[in-house]
Amino acid sequence: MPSSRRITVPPLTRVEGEGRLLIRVSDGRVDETRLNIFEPPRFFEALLRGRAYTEAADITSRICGICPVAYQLSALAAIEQICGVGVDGQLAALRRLLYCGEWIESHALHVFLLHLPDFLGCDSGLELAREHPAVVRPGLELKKIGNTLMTLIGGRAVHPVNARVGGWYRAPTRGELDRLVGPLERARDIARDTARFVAGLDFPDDEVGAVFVALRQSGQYAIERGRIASSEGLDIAAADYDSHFVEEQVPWSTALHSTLAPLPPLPPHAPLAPHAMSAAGGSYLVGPLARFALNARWLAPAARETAAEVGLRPPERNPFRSIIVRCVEMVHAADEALRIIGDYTEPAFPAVPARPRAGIGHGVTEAPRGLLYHRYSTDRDGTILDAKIVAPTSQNQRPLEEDLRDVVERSLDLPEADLARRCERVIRNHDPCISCATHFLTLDIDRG
Amino acid sequence: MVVRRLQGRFPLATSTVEGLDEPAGLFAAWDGAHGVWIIDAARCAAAPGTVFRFRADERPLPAQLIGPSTHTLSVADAVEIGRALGGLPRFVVVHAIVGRDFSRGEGLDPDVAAAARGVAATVRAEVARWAARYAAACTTATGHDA
Repeated sequence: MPSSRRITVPPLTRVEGEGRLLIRVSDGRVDETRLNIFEPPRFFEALLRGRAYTEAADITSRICGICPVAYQLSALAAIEQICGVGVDGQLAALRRLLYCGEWIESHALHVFLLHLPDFLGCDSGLELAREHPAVVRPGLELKKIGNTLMTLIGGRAVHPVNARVGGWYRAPTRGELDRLVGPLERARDIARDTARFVAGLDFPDDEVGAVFVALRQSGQYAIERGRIASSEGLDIAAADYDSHFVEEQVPWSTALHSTLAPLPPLPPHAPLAPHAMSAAGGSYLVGPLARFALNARWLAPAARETAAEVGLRPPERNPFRSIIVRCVEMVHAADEALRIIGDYTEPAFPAVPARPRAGIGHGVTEAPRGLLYHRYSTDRDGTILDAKIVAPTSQNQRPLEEDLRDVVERSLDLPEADLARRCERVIRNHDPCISCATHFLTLDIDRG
Repeated sequence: MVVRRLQGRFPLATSTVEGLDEPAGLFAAWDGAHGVWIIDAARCAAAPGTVFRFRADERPLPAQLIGPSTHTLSVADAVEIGRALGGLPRFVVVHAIVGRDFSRGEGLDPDVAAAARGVAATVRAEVARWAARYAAACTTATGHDA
């Protein structure tokens, strides 16, 4: 037996992006797990400098082909804050409706073609489609319904073009939305049946210990607006994001790692302000598990019933079971979309005027993979002076590395190939989008 | 670049979709279509500017094209999933242009740019021929113009 071994497995697939996982093991303990993201930085923040305030949404939507709406709506929220514009009523409802389409489309892709193969013993979505076509076919139908919704509201399914500062270029007619009712009812049924099916899968034991962070909006399962909340009591406005979260460069990744900011020392016996009640300095997890933990009570009725029926209760801390949460969120998105359409009246104007001015704006929304934060500063002509974008995957890198460490330590007796496969599953549980974070390929295990 | 050269130069009932960042988007893009042409970049040992043309409706794409992708799915994965589920359009052609330099920057390598112009011309001619044959077949089948 050599004293040091390095095992390299074929490129990790079914994630968006390019990278590598390095694990060092000695004396039966994992010394180090490093998610090496070596995809080159994409310089979007630099690209935005000098561009007009009206361009941020369209430029940033190009960051991701899977969740362009998330980028658009976080950018618009920040820019509209600078302009002092409030987008509400039907204009706001349409943004939530567009986002529902993206949640359905993105979750369907992950559940049916990226995640489900792991549970059914298939190496790829293609193998799953060949072996279990009846399982995959409804998934593509679901994805198509999400795309149809995005096309109607956003102008097209990929990189939608209809959202603008202050609202929309064109608001849909009542008749156009009514045509979505049948497909969305079908989407809700498919998502509910899929939740029942995946709840019966075999889930390995696992538990993430990280603090959950998600948007919270009283009375609604937060998607396109809300305050930033955590499972440890954090409750802040988007404008306070930089005071509570820090990004740091690590040598093994071109994506920044995010953690909760360390708190300044408090004087003795000082009362703890609610906003300060966070696990300062630690990792935190965003995404479906966090949203479900913080907001399950505000799920749409059909989604709440589905969660109860399949035995899903908050907080759910097993990342393998995130596939059930995504299904429940698809039920929610379809039900919520139906509610919005039911309440819809055509707005008098598709947008409210938004004039440029100097200032700093913060926008935060719930991308399918989790919290997406944007911050911009502009001059009085609306030229962007500075931009900061924090994607969900960069926030989830630290807890993902911690999750991998725990799983590997419990699985060291597995043969190398099985251990590598288990690690890939752990990573896919979190649906990382490495392209967003800045791509993920080989796994090296060094058993020194 | 290929798609931009083709926009507005097709018969009626033909649409172009540019920049599908996510190949799974093909499922929606080809929904309801009878004939589909897919143009993508390829990285392989062949000389930059080499063009590979596959009739994906006739036979599976080469095995070496299916597999690890820096996207969630590769174009070949999407095509083969479509075939497995019986959702592949009746006529599917894939043109793959071998690139030279995939790093960021402006412009195209001259060999690759020339190949892209060639593929645009080829696709335009193929679509015109196919559309004419398809219209003729519909007329024969129904007794009405397509």
